[in-house]
Amino acid sequence: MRMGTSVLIVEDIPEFQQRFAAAIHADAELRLLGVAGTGAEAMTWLARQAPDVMLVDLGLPDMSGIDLIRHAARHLPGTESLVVTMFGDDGNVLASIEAGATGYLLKDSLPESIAACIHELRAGGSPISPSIARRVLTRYRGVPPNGNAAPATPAAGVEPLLTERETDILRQVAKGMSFAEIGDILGISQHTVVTHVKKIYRKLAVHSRGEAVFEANQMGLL
Amino acid sequence: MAMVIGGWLRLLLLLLLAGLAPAAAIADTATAVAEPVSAARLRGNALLPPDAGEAWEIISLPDNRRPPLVSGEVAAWYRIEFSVTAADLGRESWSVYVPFLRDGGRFFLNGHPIEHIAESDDVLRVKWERPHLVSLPDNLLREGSNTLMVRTQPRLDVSFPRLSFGHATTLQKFQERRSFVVRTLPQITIVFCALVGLFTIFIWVARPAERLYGLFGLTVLLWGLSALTFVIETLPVEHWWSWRLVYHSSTGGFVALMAVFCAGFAELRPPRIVWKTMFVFWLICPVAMIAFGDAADVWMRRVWSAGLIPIGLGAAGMICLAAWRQRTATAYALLAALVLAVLSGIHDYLLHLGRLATIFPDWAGHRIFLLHHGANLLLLVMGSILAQRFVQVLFDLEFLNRDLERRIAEREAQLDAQYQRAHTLERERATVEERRRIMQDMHDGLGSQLFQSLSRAERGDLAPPEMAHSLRSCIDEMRLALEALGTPDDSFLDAIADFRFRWERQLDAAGVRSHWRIEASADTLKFPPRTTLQYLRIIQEALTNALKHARASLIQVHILGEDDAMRIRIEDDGVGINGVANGPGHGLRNMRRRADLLGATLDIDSAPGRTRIEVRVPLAAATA
Repeated sequence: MRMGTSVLIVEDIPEFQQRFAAAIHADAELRLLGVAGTGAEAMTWLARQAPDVMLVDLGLPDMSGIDLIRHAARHLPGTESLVVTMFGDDGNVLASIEAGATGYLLKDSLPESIAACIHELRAGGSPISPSIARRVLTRYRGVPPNGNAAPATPAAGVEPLLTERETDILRQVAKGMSFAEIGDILGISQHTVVTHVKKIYRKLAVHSRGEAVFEANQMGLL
Repeated sequence: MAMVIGGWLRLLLLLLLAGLAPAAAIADTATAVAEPVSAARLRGNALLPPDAGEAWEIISLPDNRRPPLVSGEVAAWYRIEFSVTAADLGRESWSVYVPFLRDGGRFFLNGHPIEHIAESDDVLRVKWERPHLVSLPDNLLREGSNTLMVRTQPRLDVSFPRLSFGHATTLQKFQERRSFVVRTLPQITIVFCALVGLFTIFIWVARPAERLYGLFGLTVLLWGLSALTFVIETLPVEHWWSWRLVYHSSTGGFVALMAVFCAGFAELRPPRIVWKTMFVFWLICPVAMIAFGDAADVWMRRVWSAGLIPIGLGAAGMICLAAWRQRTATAYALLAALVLAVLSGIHDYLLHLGRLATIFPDWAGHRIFLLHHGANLLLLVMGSILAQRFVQVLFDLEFLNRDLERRIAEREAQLDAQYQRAHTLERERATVEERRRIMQDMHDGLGSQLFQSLSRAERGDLAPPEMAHSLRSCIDEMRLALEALGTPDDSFLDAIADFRFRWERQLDAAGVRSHWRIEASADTLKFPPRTTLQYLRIIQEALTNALKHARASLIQVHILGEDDAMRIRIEDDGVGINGVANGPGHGLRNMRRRADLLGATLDIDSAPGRTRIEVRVPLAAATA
């Protein structure tokens, strides 16, 4: 018998706590692990048991949800973070992805799409909007893979962080193409497109972690 | 540049000349050359050698006589004795070297005529500048004492040189050396003067404001003309007078122009009367030559030429003043060259007059005229000064250019900064204006909708599903605004991508298939955010109609960017506008109003199963 996907909700507004909890309860495959109203509570939950999926609202009263995502990405390899956003276009989504989030959820999503989103995430799919793709392209064009190098202009011969294929995919996403269409255009399966997107998310997280280490080094913290 | 090189060459030749006289002296002692220092002279017009019994007077050679004021001198016979040893005889042929014999003459050896150097007569005028080498035939030459007699009719020159007797090969060297100085150097001078003069005058013609160049060019040309006197040795009688006119005029003109050049260099402005006097003085020459013809020639040489000396001294005085004021190497060099030229001019004048013989009899006997070389040196210095000024002008020009470039760059930077400021201000103003309009839109659209919903909710007139619907459309309105404003570079395609992403999911969730086709280049479709917002609203309205009212199962959105227009086409397979009971009239009216405001046309073609809404946007109107 399957245990189902365990979900931790980190959200300070009771209305949304209820909304998300209801959506999870309604789905037989999902299991609500707990609801945390503050970052500290969430940390306690995480220390006790690592959820499969953590739904994080960024605007917590005591800390930034991004720190929470980063903590989970670093210490709980089995946990996937799903950031909750109002409109899905703000810079916080990219910051969350860089911190380790592998997807985002619109705050006004209907209950069934909340569950669908979690399932999609577990199945290896990560949603990506054109505006996020644009942000990633603008920011990581020509950036070398290791964060230690200066990001502005990569040295000749250094492989860029994003492969050509990944860049192609992002370009198509930025145009508003669906994964299926992108698969058709690039001659690959929709599933492969999904995998690529997930890989891009992981790369950005690893890269920004390296960059953080690099910056910390620079500042003499490490 | 040519000027400078030419000048240097001339200077070099001048130095060569300085070593000439001593070299000749050394050659004299080294080889068997006889130079009798005395001779017998007899004045008389006899054409055949007079007897020894005539009234010969013993004179020393060279014979430096003063020329009479009036031409028409009687002929003179010179008798020179020289001896030849038996050893010298037969070994090599003998010659007599005659350094100069301007008027030509007849040579007799031991009573036999051996040579006739052309003399002036009714058809020809001669003025020999070249040295002569007369060979002494072996069969007439005797061992022991020999007699050479020379008959000459002085017209231009009454002096007679010291002759050299010896082997032809030795004497030929003497002849070549002197020939170089009195013939070749002037030829070179003439060629250089012609080239440099014309070159400089070309510069002046191209830039008449550069008066100094014109002056120098003319000076050089006149000097070249004057130097022709060393080259033109024989001339038909009918041309003689005009040539002398040219010669005197150009010599006088040269001196006068040189004085003007010097005044220019010294930056002095002598009273006009000085120049007028000088001009009148110069004018005497051609006037007198024209009035009195050939007879004036000798007066020109003797008297008028003397007047050139004060002009030269005046020029030297001006340069002296300039040197004292400027204290530059250039001024000193010009002063030195000018003093040398004036001195050599005085030298030549005295030599001509026969006065120099009383001071330096030996030197005068060589009859070497110096002004020619002195003037060359002077022209060299003058040319160098011009070249230096030319180069200085180039340097100044370069400096000015750089300065100008720098100032232009500065001004450009200022303009650029100003433009940037203006641009920034304009952009800020535009942004503020755009923001104001969007706020207005929000106020009228979103605000109004929220207030209506609030009012109805407070009245208890709003059921939960309606309330949710109302709030959702408010959120959609906000999303739409974010999509329109969220593209940093006003790219319509970026906005439509976000819009499509949102709608695709929405339609998907509602079970409606959608098909999107966007064919346009990103560069051509750039609108201000508010315009983009209006287009997105039109599309949103059309999609909402298709989804809510027409109950479509397939919606196709096609955006086509053409060169001059953009087409937006939304097609669905719903029931059509007429099939809708509670008609979407309000939505359609809204769409039409928006399209009108944007200068776009809206076409609706609706039938059951196929509704097509097409918006055509002329691009000029959209971006204006």
